[in-house]
Amino acid sequence: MSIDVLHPGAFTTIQDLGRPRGRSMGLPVGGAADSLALRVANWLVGNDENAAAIECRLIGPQLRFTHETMVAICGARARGFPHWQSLVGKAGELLDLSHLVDGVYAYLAVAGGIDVPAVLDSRSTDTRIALGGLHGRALQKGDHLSPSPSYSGERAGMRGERGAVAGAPEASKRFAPHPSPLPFEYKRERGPYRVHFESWYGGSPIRVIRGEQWDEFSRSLVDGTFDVSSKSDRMGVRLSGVPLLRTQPSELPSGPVTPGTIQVPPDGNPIVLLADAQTLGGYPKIAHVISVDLPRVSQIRAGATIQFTEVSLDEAHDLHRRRTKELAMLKYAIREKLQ
Amino acid sequence: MRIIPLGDSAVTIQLSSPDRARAVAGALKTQQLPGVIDALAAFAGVTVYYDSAELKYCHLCDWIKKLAHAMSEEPALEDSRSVEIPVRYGGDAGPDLADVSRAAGLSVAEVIALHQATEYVVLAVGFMPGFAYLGGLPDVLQTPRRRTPRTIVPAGSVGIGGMYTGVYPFASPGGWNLIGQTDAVLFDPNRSSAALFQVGQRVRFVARG
Repeated sequence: MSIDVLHPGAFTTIQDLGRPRGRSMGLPVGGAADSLALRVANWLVGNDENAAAIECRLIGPQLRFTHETMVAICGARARGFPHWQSLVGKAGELLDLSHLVDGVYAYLAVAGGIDVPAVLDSRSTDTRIALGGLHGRALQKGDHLSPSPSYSGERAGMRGERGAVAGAPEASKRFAPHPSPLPFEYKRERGPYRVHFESWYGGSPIRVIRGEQWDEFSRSLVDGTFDVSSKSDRMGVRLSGVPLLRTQPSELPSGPVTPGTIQVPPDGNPIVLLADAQTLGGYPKIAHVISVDLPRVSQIRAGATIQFTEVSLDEAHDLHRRRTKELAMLKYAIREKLQ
Repeated sequence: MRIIPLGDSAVTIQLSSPDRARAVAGALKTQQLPGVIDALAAFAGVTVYYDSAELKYCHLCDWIKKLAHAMSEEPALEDSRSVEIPVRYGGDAGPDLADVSRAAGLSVAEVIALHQATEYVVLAVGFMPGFAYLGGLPDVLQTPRRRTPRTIVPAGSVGIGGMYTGVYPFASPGGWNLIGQTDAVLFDPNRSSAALFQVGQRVRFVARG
């Protein structure tokens, strides 16, 4: 069974949930920029949440599956495909993910997970040091991927009726929604998890906890808006606006930073760190995006405008606990339906 | 003892010394308290990464404080051997050696001798995988980072940046003053200990060829 890369897309890499214990070696956690979308995509195809998937950025790849397979696409929406849903595709089908909207990162999970060697306990790709994934690099035309050998076509959900959507001749429409009903009502254009979707990726200001150098700037982070720069990447979302200038001239020693940390370099343009950010940083830390809002931040496209608002640590913890419970229930519901 | 939140999933605590930070981080990793994901010693601080859905924040803070108090004594060095890093100093391998010696008011030979004479300690590993900030650089050798960083510093470059010395494990942009080159492999994912340098380790440079 092979997944053939006909066109690689802009920056397509194999990612899982990253390396959570490599910081002592200076290794970023890495993994999916939007870990929430990756986890749900994996659940939708019966995988463990940490299975390796294909992360698409801005322009996704064009892939051909040699065998019938179950997939799911979560995160940004690939035009022509239902997202946040289990899909079944026939042998030989073309999966064209080149038109991505409503986000930056789309995750294509395949039943069984993508089979590449694990390096330092993860299949994630760190292109900076050519580590992990497929030869430590983004996908190229002519690459072949396969699901893990443990995958079998008889996995949950592959039984019973399957096949193309009647009528539509385009290849993209042949990836049909999984026949068994999933736990939430399907809404046009939104997928079955509409209720969660709005709270996970909705449009209110991004919530932050104040950072160590919060008081050291001429302006507050929560005053005004910022534009997202096209120079953003997996290391961070780069913002521009009225510069945040530091009132204290002293140079800071390097210290640990983490995805979600908002650093302010001397030019005053903040950077919200993402999965591939370095483990130590020397720039002032004005604030940190709360963990439940990090998926949303990762998905904001260049040209968009964002605003921040401060919340307390208690509130952030509360939101994280609630999200954790919500996801546990969702995972269970999906699993039940896939049996 | 101040515990500073680093967002909602990590906290940093400053301790009195790097050795003490290393001991506290090590103890946290060994104890594997549910909800503690990782502990990172960097300079004299420890950053603890946690899951607030598994561990109450107040319990985490209490735990860290108890550990820090329990380790108020300087811990004994586990392993007093230094790791030796062979270096080719100067020439093409060290394009900034002349600048460093000029700034120090020493001859190139004196700089090379002094760089080797010191036993350094790994204070932090970060910036890149396997990149260590080595403390103990003699005052006279401390040289500010270059005004214009290089877009590419070759892998294995030995440099001086402010009060630290260190080695670039990979080719990368860099602003340190390059005084030599080593063939030592600083990061190898296939090695049992992927990063050559760990916090608290003692390091010496030795001139070769």
